[in-house]
Amino acid sequence: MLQFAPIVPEAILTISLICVCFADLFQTKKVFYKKGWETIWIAALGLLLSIIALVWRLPQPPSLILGGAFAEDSLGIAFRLIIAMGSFICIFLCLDYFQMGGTPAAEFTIFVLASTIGGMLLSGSNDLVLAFVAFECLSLNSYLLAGYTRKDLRSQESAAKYLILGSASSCALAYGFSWLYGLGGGSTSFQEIGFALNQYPSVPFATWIAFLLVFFGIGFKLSAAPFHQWAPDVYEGSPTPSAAFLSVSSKAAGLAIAARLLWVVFSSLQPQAGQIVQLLAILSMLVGNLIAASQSHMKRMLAYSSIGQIGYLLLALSLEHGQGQSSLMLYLGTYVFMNMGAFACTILLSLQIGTDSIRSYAGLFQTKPWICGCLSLCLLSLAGLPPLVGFFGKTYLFWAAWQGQLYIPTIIGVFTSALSLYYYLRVIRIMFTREAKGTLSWQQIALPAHKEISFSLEKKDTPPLLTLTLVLCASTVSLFSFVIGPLTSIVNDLSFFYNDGF
Amino acid sequence: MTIETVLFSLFSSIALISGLMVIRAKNPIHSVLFLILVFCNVSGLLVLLGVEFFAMIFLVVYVGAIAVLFLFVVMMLNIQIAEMQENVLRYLPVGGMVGLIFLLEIFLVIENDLIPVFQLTDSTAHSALNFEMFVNKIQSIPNIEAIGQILYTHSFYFFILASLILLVAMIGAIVLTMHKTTLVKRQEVFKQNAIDFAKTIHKIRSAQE
Amino acid sequence: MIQEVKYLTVSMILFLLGIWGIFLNRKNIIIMLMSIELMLLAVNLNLLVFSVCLDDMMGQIFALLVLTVAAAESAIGLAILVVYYRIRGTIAVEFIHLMKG
Repeated sequence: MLQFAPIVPEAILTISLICVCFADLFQTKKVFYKKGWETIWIAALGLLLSIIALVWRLPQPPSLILGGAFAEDSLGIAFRLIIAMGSFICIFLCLDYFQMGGTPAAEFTIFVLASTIGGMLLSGSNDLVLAFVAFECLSLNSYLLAGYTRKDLRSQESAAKYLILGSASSCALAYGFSWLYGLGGGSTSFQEIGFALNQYPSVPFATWIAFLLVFFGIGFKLSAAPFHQWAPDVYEGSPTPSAAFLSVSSKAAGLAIAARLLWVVFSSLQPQAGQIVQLLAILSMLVGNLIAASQSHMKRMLAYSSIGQIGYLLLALSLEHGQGQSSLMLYLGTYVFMNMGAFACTILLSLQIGTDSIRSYAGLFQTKPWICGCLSLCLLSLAGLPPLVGFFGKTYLFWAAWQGQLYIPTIIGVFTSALSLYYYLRVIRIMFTREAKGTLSWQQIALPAHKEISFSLEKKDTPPLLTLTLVLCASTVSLFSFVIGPLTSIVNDLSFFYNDGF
Repeated sequence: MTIETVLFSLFSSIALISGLMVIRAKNPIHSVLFLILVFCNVSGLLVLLGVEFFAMIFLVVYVGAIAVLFLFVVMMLNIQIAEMQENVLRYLPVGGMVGLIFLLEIFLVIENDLIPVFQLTDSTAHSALNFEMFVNKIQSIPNIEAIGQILYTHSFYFFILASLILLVAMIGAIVLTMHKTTLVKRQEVFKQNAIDFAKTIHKIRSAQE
Repeated sequence: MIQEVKYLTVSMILFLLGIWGIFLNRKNIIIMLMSIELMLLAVNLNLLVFSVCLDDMMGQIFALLVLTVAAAESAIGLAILVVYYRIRGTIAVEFIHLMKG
């Protein structure tokens, strides 16, 4: 008897995807710009139900279903929850943005839902085949998200770049998987492969090749440091809700599969493999935080800052079993709200002043104090200032890394997060102190392809859904620090990973 | 030299040479045609391996769908023949070194690591890897039947997930390439059917008057 | 059994050719997409060889799914390429430099 209860969240999302398709088909097409309300609500409802189902599954004992292909364990559920929450916020970000641009938002929600399904299956996958198919489901939809505004040259260019590099890296992943399949003696289950790899008297060289190929593919998806070149271009060119999705949900899914592979499959390579991940973490922290300081474009700056953040997360990933997991989950859970809040503010400001350049934020505090206040909260939390939730996540993470005797990476992490305060504060200083003078207005900046955007800009000033999302993120960022104690204990309880199946 | 070795050498050498030509050809159409040649030869290799179903599927999907799609797009885009302005020698030292090292490592891997894996497979006495000897079970079942039995019963969820991927890829391709401009005249069936002809004629007549 | 190892060499060289086509070839995007197809073909061949050698059917299922994904990927890639060409008028790689940090 097959047990289907563990994949109920994914099933709900699939059903809501189909409902979105039909709702888009049957709705009246009288007003082109107003399209998308129904589909947004259906998708949001599906994601909400899926989140509820995940919370319901959380206290269940771990189990393997679908012939051992899908593992339900509390860490996997936590990753799936984070992915679903990121997509839930992202759905709310997209409507106003695309309405102003004159692009229908319905297909965007389809792609977000499909890639959420891929990411959630990826974080629960316990089998090479399912991992590959879910990874591709996530990546293919990410390419479509990056190229969603089809009249915008920058969006298309970033999509083309992302497609070529992303497909090449996922080919490397698939090739690594095929080697793992061979080395594991013809088995696709992670436990059996890990067991078979442990049986060799000495670690075969081919295992290292498979490890490098697989982590090349995943590191690309995470945009960790040596493989990060695509990220700033893609974030800058793609529509901002897509960039928000890529920076949160897609990275969470990549981290989930990296954790499972590192701890289950490659346990025979363990001390050295962990050191390689630490090397990636150090490089990401340095590269992301150093280059972000010199950026003049808000989305590029957020891209480099997310590279730096992935460095901290990888540092937690490389730790031994118990210590790393809970700090990883806590930091990732707070990162969703901080980063989504920052992107929501970027979207709101870009809709109102028509550009993403940091310099044009000068003196905005006088005219838009609330948005600027929320943006400052999110950025300060990303930097890790004490009263906000990012501080606790970062402190817990560095503490766990120090306990794990990773002294040098921890020192580098503390140093770079102090450095990151500089460029986050720079944005805030520009908003609060500088007078708005000599900046180009949106009519001069807007590209010819953006004529519709500039046309509809004049009519609307405060989009309701975006504001709601912004308030949600900012209040989470500032208020969650009061409940950080219970939250930490919850996260500590669920650090369990399905590993004893064999 | 058995006939199998001869065929293997033939297929693999043609596949590799045309694979090289795919990335070195000046004209993209030549590249696509060489890609088709690679696919045909690889399906020949698959026949030698004994997986006939996949040989046929490669011909149908790779040649019939993917390569024709490429050919179609190359024809549609009207790409001029790329000049070989890029300097091969510029990348040759670094790229050649990396490639050579990789290739040597690969041979090393095959020599040292894989042969033990296959020998492990041979010796059923070794208890480290417990797998089924499927040969004993599916002697009478052809390749396609075995795949069908596994794909539609044991691992049907992969099938469903693949269908989801194909659905979204289709939607994505349509969304990206569909033009919605005012210049393109499109047929609007409902509007045309809903026209009351009596009124239309009346309107024109009244306009003329 | 050892006989099949040379098939793996063929697939490895095909994979290296695909990598070469992507990272060292700077002509146009469509050649890069073809190189990706070449790499996926190498993955497929590798999986099938392992599946035959190790007597396990899951490798063939895996190969079938890789084939599906290859088809979807080429469809999406070509769609993005067509849209890009429609706006830009060229698909040469050297003109992809709108965004630089």
